[in-house]
Amino acid sequence: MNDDRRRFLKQAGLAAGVAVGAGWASLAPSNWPLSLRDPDGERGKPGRRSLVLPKNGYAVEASSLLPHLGVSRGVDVDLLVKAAVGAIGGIGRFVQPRDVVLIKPNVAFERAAALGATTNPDVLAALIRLVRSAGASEVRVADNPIESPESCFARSGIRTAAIEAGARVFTPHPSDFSVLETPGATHIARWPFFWRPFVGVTKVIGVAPVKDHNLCRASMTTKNWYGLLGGRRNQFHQDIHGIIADLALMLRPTFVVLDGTRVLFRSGPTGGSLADVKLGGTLVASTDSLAADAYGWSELLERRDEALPAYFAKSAERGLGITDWKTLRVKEEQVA
Amino acid sequence: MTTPGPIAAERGKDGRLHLRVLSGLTPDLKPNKDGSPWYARTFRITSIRIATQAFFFALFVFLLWVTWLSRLGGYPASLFLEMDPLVGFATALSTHTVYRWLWRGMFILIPTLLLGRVFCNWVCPYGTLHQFIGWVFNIRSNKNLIDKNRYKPLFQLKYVILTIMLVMAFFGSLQIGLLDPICLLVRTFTVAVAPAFDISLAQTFPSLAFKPGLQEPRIFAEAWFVGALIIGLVGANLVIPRFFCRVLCPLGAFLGWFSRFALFRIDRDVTKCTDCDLCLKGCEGAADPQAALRKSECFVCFNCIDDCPEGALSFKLTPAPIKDRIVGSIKAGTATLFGQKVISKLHDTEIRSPDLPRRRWLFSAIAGVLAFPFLRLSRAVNKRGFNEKAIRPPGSVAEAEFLERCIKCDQCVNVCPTNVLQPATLAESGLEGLWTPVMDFSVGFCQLNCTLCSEVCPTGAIQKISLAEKLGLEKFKERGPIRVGTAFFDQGRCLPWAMQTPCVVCEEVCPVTPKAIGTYDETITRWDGVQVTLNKPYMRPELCIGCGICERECPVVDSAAVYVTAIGETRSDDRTLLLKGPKRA
Amino acid sequence: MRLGLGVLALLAAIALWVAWAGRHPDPTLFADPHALLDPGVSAVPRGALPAGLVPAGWQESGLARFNPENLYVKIDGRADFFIARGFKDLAFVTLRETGAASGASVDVEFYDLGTPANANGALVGEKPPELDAQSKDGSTWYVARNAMFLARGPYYVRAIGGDESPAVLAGLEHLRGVMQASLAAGEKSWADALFGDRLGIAPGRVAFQQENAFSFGFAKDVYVATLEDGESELFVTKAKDAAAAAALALQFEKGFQEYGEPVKRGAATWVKDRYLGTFARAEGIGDTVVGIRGAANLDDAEKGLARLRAAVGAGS
Repeated sequence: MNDDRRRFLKQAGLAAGVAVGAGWASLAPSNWPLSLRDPDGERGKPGRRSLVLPKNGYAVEASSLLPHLGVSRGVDVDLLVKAAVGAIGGIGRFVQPRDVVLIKPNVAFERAAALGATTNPDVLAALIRLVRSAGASEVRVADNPIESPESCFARSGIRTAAIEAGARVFTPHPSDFSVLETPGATHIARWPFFWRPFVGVTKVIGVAPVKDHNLCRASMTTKNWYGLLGGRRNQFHQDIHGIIADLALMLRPTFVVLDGTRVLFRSGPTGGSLADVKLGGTLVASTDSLAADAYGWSELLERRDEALPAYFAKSAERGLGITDWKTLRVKEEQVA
Repeated sequence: MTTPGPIAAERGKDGRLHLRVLSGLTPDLKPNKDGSPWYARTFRITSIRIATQAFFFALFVFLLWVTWLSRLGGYPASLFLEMDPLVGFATALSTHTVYRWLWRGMFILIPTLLLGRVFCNWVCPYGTLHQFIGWVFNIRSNKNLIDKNRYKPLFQLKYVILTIMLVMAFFGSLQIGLLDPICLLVRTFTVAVAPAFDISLAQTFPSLAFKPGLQEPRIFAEAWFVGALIIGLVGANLVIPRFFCRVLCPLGAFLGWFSRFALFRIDRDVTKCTDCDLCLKGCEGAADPQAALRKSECFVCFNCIDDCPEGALSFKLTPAPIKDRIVGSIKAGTATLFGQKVISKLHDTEIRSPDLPRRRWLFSAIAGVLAFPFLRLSRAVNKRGFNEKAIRPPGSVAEAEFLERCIKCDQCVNVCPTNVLQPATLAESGLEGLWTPVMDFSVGFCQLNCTLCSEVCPTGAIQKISLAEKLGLEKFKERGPIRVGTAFFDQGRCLPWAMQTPCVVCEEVCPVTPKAIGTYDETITRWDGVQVTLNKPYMRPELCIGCGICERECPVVDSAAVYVTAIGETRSDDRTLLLKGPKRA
Repeated sequence: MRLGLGVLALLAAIALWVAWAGRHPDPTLFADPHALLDPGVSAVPRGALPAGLVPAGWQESGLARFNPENLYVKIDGRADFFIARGFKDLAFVTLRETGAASGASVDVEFYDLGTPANANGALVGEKPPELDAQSKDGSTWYVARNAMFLARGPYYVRAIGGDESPAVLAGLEHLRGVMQASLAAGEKSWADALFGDRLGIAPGRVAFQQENAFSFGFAKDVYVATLEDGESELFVTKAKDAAAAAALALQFEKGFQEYGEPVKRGAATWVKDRYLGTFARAEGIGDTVVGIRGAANLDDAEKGLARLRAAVGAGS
């Protein structure tokens, strides 16, 4: 008798559970958890899915004591990276154990590293090693180059350097893009974004070379986020400065490294001649990509007599950084 | 120990569940009871067999994996197809020749003549797949298994299939590839498994992809059917163990017929056998080791020897017939053999030939004789009614000879870098040409400098050609390049011809020199008054090789305004387009 | 057990044979691996790109073509530089030394810019000021370390070596020879005759701005020659007739005045740049507008303009 009652209660409970579950899923208001309700068909429409990045991006808490810009000069890339990042608080400030870190180099063109059109692979490798030493559980390297991705990653030496330093390399495939929403952006409020490397990422670091640029005059760490977008990017030329200001809004990095080991001071962004490249021997690390870029403009491209390109002002208007780097705390260090 | 299988759970003495697979993994390094060292235990012949099967399966997948332009190198990519003695024998029947590497069938035939159907349970990757699936998903009790592994008359069917196919091959229609396990598995990997892997797991591990570096995944005509077929055939193991191998496999039937000559076979010692039937528990071939061994069915898997609790079974060199040497009566319990008491019931010791009665052989042969004209009279493959979309890869022999050679293995489809080669559907080639390679220029185009399909074809349906031969260079200058068809314009869909819209894509991409596509340049005043220059394209049929890049690149993508059909192909004298031989500039 | 070892040995032998065979491909099949590995390589027409770009022991691969619509796919960010100079077509190939361990390579970008003036203009526009271009038999070129830049006829060639090795430099030299031999030199324009023959200014110093010269929207088809001092520039352009030339000269003057103040000397009005302190002036001679800008002082400015004026006068 007891067994019978138990069996009945069990069965009744199961049946009720199924009924309630089905009712919840189909009838609960659509903003309730686990609800599948779609009264007007809007929810089920394809293409509405889009991504948003975390609210404050991947930035860590600001500090009122530490220098804004860490500048290191020298030859040994490991020391350079360590000193520049050390000046703004050290890698421990930015990367905690078990972080998944995405590093975004500039691999835009199929050029040898010496030609200065891409991030110096040695700097990238040193940065990967530094991030790994802080206990990151995974380091990823990703870019969506202008030219064929496989050739760009191979020719620039980025693929080999990244893999040997222990990072995973992501090259774009058509299915890797999804629409990203950037509220407040002028042009790219909704735009295809290279999202696959971002899945599960907790920190994002940009590392970009210092380059002259035919359109926007200078391509550094802010312009570097261009390589995370897909779609028809040539449309951007109509308002390149507006786009770069949008890029600064779109991605708030953990920190950026401006790679001034080589400076492509003219014929950018493609370059080609070693005569267009000078050795800079400098790295700049900052949580503020605009400040780092402004430093690069005046000290590495040595254009301190010229006005900053328009995208600096447009980004600063949005409160995305400080373009007058001389007002900031700068710590410079000479290494071996 | 009631439920065999890899992950059966048992309740231990402590009352908790133990997974047998885990307890089985604990190393037990004590010597065996008979004093032999522990590793003799793990070195059982069945362990060696499993290692061999794993090796050949891995080798099979590896060779398909390297069948790609960046990996091919000198790998014998079609090795398994070439070693398949049925491929060699059937093409020899249909063409009276043994092409290129097909002599490698001896690698399998000779061991079969010595040892029986060892191929089926030691080498064949398809057999390995069936055995593995049957093992993983086995839910049967030992008693049930013993029952399932008894020989059944249904297993005669494979001999019927083989006979029909060989008779058809004799008349010139090679159909073994429909069911030959190697052809079937290569085709399944090419058309279904590899592309499915590439769009799923290979996204995470791009370097493992079968076809690396592609922007778009490869697509194949009727991939669903090929995929459904393997799911069905593999799933049949759950109903009848080794269903395909025992019931359908024409290669198994072929080797079964030859294994009558085998010098070695499983031998049962009737003085030890207690008729417990445990040898049937793992019998892969359903070869009745507990009674008169059916040599043509035995896969030489050695499970019976492993399972015999009495040590009554062994693998022996031509055991002598024993029936005549028994003295006394088994019924009365007085029978002895060489002085030892015979305790088992006595059957014939072996059944050599396949169990197919003579009248059924005859019926199969007649069915084959009839099937040939039934297939060949179909319009798609008949000389008088060829399909214009049956465009064969460069180097292919003429259609009648092609059907004598092509085993539908789709290795050419596998290696094709542009995805233009597709397995034919019933529409292009009828049942006779099902899954033979045809080019679909809406998917890809024939890469000018590529001859890879001719390299991997095991049977010479696509003859091995050099690049010079394909392009008509050097000593082939006189004959000209190989044409696979001719392109035509559909002026009603062509942008400059029909829509006052400039476009010269087809002319630009045409790879031959001089170009096979020319243009009439004409400046017109468009409907809205704007002056536009239209380059209206036309074809120069003497120059077109049918590579199809114009069709592939035509901006009218759904049904291209320029399209290739098979007319004008070099391989056929019946399908010439121009009266005079093609001129070379 | 011995049997088992035998089987394992057989398997190992098969594996070894397969691996060995894989490393010994049929040499005829892979005679030209680049062509084979590059789907579509030969499907791309060469257009005007000369054949035989490679010296012995080198190989060409990866031919790709770009038009104004898709040029950004290749050189996004720099495309506008060429589009502003009449860009029609880019053919791109990579040349590689085969066999040698050096791995020398040269990327060739072959731009069709429509007219010799555009080609020369692109060359001068990209040339570092510290390097001088050479001119011979209708070609203008310079080598900047690892790279060679050459203008011939309507074509502008950028040949980018992977490094500065002797092999690369030899490859660049070979390339120049091929371009010289297989491309027709452009016809001499009136400006070539003016600057080259009568003023003795090398083509490598004469830039051509099809649009937007000196950032003046009205200034089209302007030739600009940099003088020996490296600062002052002579410029000329043609107008429809004398009246139009005079009007255009006036537009230039107004343009210059946006950055400076007028200064009178004699009958002529000059403009002194507010920031740089240099002098500029334009005037019409017949249907031609001549001018000078960037001159350090008025005397040099007058001298320079007089030279140009005389040369134009001698030509008409």
